[in-house]
This record gives sequence, C-alpha cells and structure tokens, in this order.
Amino acid sequence: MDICVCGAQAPFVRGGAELYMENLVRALIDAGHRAELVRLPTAFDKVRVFDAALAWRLVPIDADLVIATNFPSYFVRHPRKVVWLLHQHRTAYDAVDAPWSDYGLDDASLEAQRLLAEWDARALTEAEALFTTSAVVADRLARYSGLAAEPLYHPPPLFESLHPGPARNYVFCPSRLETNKRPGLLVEAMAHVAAPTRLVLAGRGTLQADLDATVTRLGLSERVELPGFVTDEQLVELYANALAVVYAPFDEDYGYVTLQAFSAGKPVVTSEDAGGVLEWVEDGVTGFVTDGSPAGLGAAVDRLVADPELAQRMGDKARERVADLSWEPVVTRLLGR
Amino acid sequence: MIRPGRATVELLPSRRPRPDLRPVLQALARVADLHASDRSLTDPQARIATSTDAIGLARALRDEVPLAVALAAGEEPSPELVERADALLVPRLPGDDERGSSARTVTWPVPSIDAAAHPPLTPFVRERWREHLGLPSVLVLVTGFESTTPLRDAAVRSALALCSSAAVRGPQTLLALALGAPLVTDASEAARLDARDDVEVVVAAPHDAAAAAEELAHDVRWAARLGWAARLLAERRHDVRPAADAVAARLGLPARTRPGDSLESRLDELGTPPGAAPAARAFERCEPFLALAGVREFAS
Repeated sequence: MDICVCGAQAPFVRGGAELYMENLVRALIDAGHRAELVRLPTAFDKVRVFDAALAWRLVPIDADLVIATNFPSYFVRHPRKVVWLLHQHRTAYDAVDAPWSDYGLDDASLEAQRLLAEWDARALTEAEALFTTSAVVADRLARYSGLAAEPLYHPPPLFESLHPGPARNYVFCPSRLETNKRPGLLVEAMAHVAAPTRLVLAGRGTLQADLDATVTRLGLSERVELPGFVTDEQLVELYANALAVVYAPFDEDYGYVTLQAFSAGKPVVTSEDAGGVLEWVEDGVTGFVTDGSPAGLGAAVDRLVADPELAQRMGDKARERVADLSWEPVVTRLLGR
Repeated sequence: MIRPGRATVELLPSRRPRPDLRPVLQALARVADLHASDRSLTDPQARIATSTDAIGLARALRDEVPLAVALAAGEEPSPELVERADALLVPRLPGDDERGSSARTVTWPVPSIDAAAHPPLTPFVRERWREHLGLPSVLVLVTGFESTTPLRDAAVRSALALCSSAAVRGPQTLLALALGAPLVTDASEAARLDARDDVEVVVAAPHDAAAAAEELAHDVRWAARLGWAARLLAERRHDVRPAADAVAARLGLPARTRPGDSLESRLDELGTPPGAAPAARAFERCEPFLALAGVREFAS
C-alpha cells in the first residue's frame, strides 16, 4: 500500500513530533508498505493558523491512504484518511490561559476559537478512524471537540538502544528548552535538593539564556549542567547512567522522555499537572508524582539519592511497564486490520 | 463570496401561501437571483412554480425553459408534470424516504433550517463567551415547557448560543440543534426531529427536563459529544441547502467551475461563514491569480 504520513512543519524546530512522524514512516516501511512523510509549514499565531489548515485542504495527495498526525495536517482531504492525533492547536483549547497563548477574550479571539473548533471537528469527523497517541489527547478531543478516539501507544525513539546502567550521582532530563517544557522549574528544584547531586539538562531552545541566568542567580553552577544538543549515543549513555529522570512539563501529550527513562530502567520524578506523563508514572511505584513545586520536586530527588535501592526497584518496575511496547500492533490498528 | 454570472429564476406564485417553501427558496437565492413573475422579466434561465396551481404554470409547461414545481405534502403530480418538469419539489417529513418517488423528485426536509446561517458553538467556546460577557460559568436555558416564560425569538437565539445546555420544546428546538446546543427535549419533539436519545439529544419527560439539562451542563464531555452530533443531525436531516443545490443542478443553473470556486468549496465544507476572516484572507492572497483566471468578485 502507498501511504502518506502527513504532519505539520514548524521550521527550525525539531522535537518529539518530528521523531514520531519519522518513526511512523519507518514502521510502515518495515511492515512492507511504501510510505513517505508529507509536511507543510505552519504558523501558530491566531491569524495565520487558518492559512495552513486551508493549504492542507487544497493539496492533492495521491496515495492509497493518508495518516494525519497533528494540527493542521488532519485537514488533508483524502477518501481514506486515518488520524493518529498527537495534538490539536493547544493554545486555542486546553492551553488557552497559558502565557504563550494569543487567544484572549476579545471578539476576534472568540470568533477565531469558534471557527477553529468547528473546522477541527469537521476535519476530524471525516476520518475513517480516529486514534490518539495517549489517553490525555483522547480526553482533550472528547472535551473540546466532542469526538471519541482510541489511544494507541507506541515505543519512543531509541527504544531498542536504551538500556539500564549503573546509577551515578546525577538526575537527567533531555528536553527542548521551551516554556511548555518548564526546564526552569527543574533548575529551581535543584536549589531545594539537599544532597550533593547534579542535574544534567540537555537540549536546545529559546530559554537557553534565561536558564543560564537562573543557574548563576541561584548559585548552582556546580550542580546544574546544560550541555545543549547531545547525540543519540550520548543520550543513551546519559539515560543509562542517571540515578533518575526528572521531567515536569505542562500537560504533555505523551512524553517520550518518560518512556525513554523507563526503557533505560530509570524512575521518573514529575508533577501532578504533567499530562500524558501521568499515564506511566505511578507514584511510589515507577517514580514520584509531586505537587509540581520546586520544593516538592527537590524533596523527591533527595529521597531517591538517599535510597538508591529504591531508585533501582522503581527503575526495574518502570522497565517492565514499557516492555510490551512495539510498532507492529500500532501499524496493524492504523491500517484497520 | 464569488458571484460569477448569476442566473435569473422566475418564481411563479401560488394561489395559496407557501411559507414552508421559504427556506428552500432562500437557500436557492445563494446561487441564483430569484424574481417574482413579471412582464419585464423576459428571458429567465429557469422557472419555479410554487404550487401545482401556480399562476403561469400552464404557459410554462408549453415552453422549454427548465422548470421546477413544488408539490404539497402527499400530493400526486399529474402525468404531464412528471413528463415535463425538470424537478418536482416534495416536502419530506420525518421518517419519509429521502429518495422520493421518481428520479426527478427533490425532497426538502420539514422542519427545515438553513444550517450554515447558524454556525455551531462548542461547549468550550460557549464557556469563553460567557466569561467574556460576565455571565455565570454555568448557564442552563429552559424554554418551551409549561413552567417557563416564553422568550422573544432574538433572545432565544442568543441564549441558545451561549448556554451550557438547554431544555427546549417547540419551534426553537431545531435552532438549538443547529447551534450545537447540548440539548434536552421530550420524546415527541425528538421524534419530530429524528433525534435519538443520548446520541443527538437527551430525551426526558417534561417534568424532568430542567434537571436533565442541569446534569448535562456539568458534564462537558457528554455535552460536547451531544452538541456536535446535534449539529450534524441538523445538517444531515434538516438542512435545506442540499435540496436547493439539487434543484439548481436540475434546472441547469451554473455549477461552480472557476478556479476560485474550489477555494470557496473548501471553505464551505468546513462550515466557514461568508466573510469570515480566514476566507477573506485566503481570497485576498489568491486574488492576483484568480484575477488572471477571470474571477474578480470577492466577499467583503
């Protein structure tokens, strides 16, 4: 079968969404199909966001099947459209009150939200099957669009390479350094960690300079390391040798970091508003779910530093939790078999 | 929107009022200019007789101008009409077969609504509007039941667009469906609209309707599911536009064929109201190219 995977392109941004699309294409090819990724640039301000959606309506895609992944790629017109939803345009929905949302309570914003909600519902209703990457995304779809979808879980990037290793004296977090990932919260948490352990916060993003300043302001230069971009090989080793992973984004869709940490046999310290992360982290079993305050996160890290055997037990449980993840059943469901 | 070379259609008046036809004719007016029969109208591209005893129908049957004839509910057309008319307009009541009795039959739903004129609002958007207007975060509307005070039409529309949920009975129920209001109604009203319990509406006995609406208002997922399904029902079963489009096609009125029309069609299928900001922006950005193709008129 010839299959086009459709996804939005945010120029110069590379993160979980891009890996998810590429790995889906690879999984389809591994299953014996011809598959290609089709991406169109998009912008997320409340005026131009409609342009990209409309562009997808007008693009001819000759394939036996299309699999749309995220907003606005699911506006693609095709007689056989399957949607495996990573997310809608969240700043118009669940993140409308977030600092980065440009939707206010003015008439123009409200009409833009109304129209976007209607466009979304129509484009998604066209799909012959509607899946989401997690229960969190399915719940948002039910809440904001009134549509039912089946969560379909897939393995994270590097799933086959990640492995447990001896825990050294640091906690780890790989993340885009962007507001919704809240890397600053992790740095602030380190100011509350009594134990002499370090945080390695890998990744790039627009908050780099702010984080550097926060580290200096809090006197954490010796305890917080910001190595920037790391290669896949380095990433695997950083996971393997960490005591634990600390990850507290705002209402994450799915959260590859959690799944990668579990694959490496590491517990995850998170916050109670972390969204999809909470589908995996069971408080006291595979990590700690804190109140999301710097003090709460810091206390959880202290507890794991003080009891490495607890961290090991939790990490073992975490690895068991993701052991069954595989692309094969995902592809089977997406193709309606 | 683009209005390239609109056709002129002559309306042959009925000897009896036909208010039931009005929604169909209003929808048809989107694609053609409708004129009352008049001596000054010399060369119409099509005619619509608003009943089988319409003034001028006998003359219309003798020439070759494309002709549509509106029948009353249950009325059998004469063999001459079946032979000559390009379209026979037949009201379709709930439970009736949508196909009609002959290939030339075009059914229109009763009750009917021009759904595109009443865009839907999801529960979340309603909540945002209430916040904007300083209204309570949860707002339940009960109207059309004996214990409630009737509201003016204009007030009902606003209230149906803003409420968290509504218990409605009477002529405004179809409007509530079209607006995607999470809706409670009684069994007879649900049957009149072909609505199913817990699919498009909640069916409740009159004395339980207010309480059911209150419960629905506090369950946003349930409300969102019912509201969107209600909207789709209004479009699928009660929208007059498909009937109007079918009549237009049978009368040979110009179909959309110009380059800009595919853009308009894409906007239409997403439910975009005429003049909406994204539509105006799309046309503005395409204008130089559409102008090259001879498409020059755009919506404001």
